[in-house]
Amino acid sequence: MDKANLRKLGVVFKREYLERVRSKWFLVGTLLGPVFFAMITVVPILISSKTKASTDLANVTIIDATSSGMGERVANALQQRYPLSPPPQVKSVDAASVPREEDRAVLSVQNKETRGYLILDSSTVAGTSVRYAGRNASSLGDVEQISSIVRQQVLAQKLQSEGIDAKRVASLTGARLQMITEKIGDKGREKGSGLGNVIFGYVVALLLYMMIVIYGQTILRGVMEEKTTRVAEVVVSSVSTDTLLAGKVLSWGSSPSRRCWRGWRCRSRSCSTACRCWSGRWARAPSRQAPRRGNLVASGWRASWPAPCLRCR
Amino acid sequence: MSDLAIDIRNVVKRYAEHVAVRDLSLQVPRGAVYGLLGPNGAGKTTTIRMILNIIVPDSGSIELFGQSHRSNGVTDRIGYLPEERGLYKKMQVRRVLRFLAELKGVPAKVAEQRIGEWMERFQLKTAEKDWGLAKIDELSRGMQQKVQFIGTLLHDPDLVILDEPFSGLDPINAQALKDTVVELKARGKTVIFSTHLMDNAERLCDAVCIIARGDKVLDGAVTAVKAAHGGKVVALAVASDSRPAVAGILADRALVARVDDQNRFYEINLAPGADPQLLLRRIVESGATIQRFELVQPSLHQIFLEKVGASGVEEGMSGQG
Repeated sequence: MDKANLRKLGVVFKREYLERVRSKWFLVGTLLGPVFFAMITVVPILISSKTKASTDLANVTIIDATSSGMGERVANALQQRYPLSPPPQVKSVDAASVPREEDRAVLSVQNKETRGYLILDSSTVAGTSVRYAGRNASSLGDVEQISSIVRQQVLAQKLQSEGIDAKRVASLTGARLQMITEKIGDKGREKGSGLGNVIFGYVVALLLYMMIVIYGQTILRGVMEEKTTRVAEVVVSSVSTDTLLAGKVLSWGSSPSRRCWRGWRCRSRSCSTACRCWSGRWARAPSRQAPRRGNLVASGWRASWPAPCLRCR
Repeated sequence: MSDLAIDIRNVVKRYAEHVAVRDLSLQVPRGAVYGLLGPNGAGKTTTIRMILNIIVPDSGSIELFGQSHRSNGVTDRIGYLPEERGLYKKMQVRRVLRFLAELKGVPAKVAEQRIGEWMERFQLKTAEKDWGLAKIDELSRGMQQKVQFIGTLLHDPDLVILDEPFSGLDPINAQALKDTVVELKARGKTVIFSTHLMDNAERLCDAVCIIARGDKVLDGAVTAVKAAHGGKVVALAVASDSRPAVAGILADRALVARVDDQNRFYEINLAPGADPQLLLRRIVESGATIQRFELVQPSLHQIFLEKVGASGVEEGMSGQG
């Protein structure tokens, strides 16, 4: 790119850039953007923490159609795991009565007497399936807890039927293993779990994706606006389309750094007055008579910038 | 150094359905006010866009000031006023103008000074109101046109191209624009404007080129064009009670090719080879009271109609010349 084109690139860049940072939407985006991104990263975590396994999971009806005491087993295990919870009610029935009991259990859940009901039948004893219905059926944490308890009891009963002592079975099957992970990189052991890194990577990828989509669309919208308003005809008669597009892309790429300059860095340095351009108040502007808000727009930010730090200049 | 501001040779531009410009060649001398005339859809705007390198011709060459129109920096010497106004609607007037000037290589400070001068000249900056601080979309259409025109001239171009500059302007601003064109010519600048308003072209242009359906119909100095088409038009005024008497004579196709009734007088195009004296004699013999019988030079409008006719407009065109 020769010197003349480079100069034109600068002119296009300056216009795109300054018009953007002057707009109200840029200010709103600057202030609310971080809040928005914080929300989309924090809220899911909050929701997931809220949906962790509840403490009253034992407050369920157990419809036991196994006729092998499986219901009592599971009820005991639930009671042990959740001692503060109301105890589970076990209904030992034959297979034919299951639908009737199920209807009752549904009513009980609807009346908020219990959180759900568990149906144990021959397939549960066989170790293939167990059915749970309740208000918390969509909570992965709750369902996983109940499922693991039932799984343990099925295993325990199988072992017992093979002649292994009940207490020994309890000690063997009662292990609640929690895995603590640690990452090892090129520099050896690193702080943080692998899961944390996965989440971090996911968040960064999401942010990057959103940036590309949003900025890409904005550039597209800008080009469309120029074409529909016929500005393009005037501009393209002075500058090549390549230079025009490059100026637009560059100006978008550098917009976030502007936020940094105007916001955090300036305030932390000696030129806090420079940041007041957003609010329009210039009472403490040191180098010239304070212009009013209207004049600020008239003269442009460069003309009325009151002695900012080098970075802002 | 070439004496020609624009030298277009055998330029062709085709679109999918039709040929917009067909083998067009025209030369515009430096310092001339040149009119590109033609009906809507004739290819005027396409030609201008090719000169400005906005669209590329399929074949042929275009030179500006003796160098290719694609050469670096050559478009910075052109000021272009498009037919449809193109300004950033949400931008402040001064900033738009500064941007347009800087794109053409004018330093910001110089641009600021010139913007002030031009805005005062076009009454966009008065003691009561400075429209330079307003946004473009707060301006009326006429004002936007003035802003666009200022943007065209801020970098003091050697060649000014105005595409339908008078459309939508009130008489006062049309006069201001005309004065500016005359002033540009006095300063040795070349001005090209496309229009289908023949009166403006006749008053302002040193030379014209008439285009129809992508073809050049004629070109040359206005005086030469008119002289070449002179001697064939007669202005005839008769007393109102004599009008029926001359009607039969004017209907004689051996003598009269076309009659344009202008209410107060007839504008008569003589048939090829017809003698005006014979026409006069026959009118006298008819007993009509003659108030005026004058051999006149044809107006550009008449030449245009004669050369292009009603068939000059191609059907289904965009309306852009």
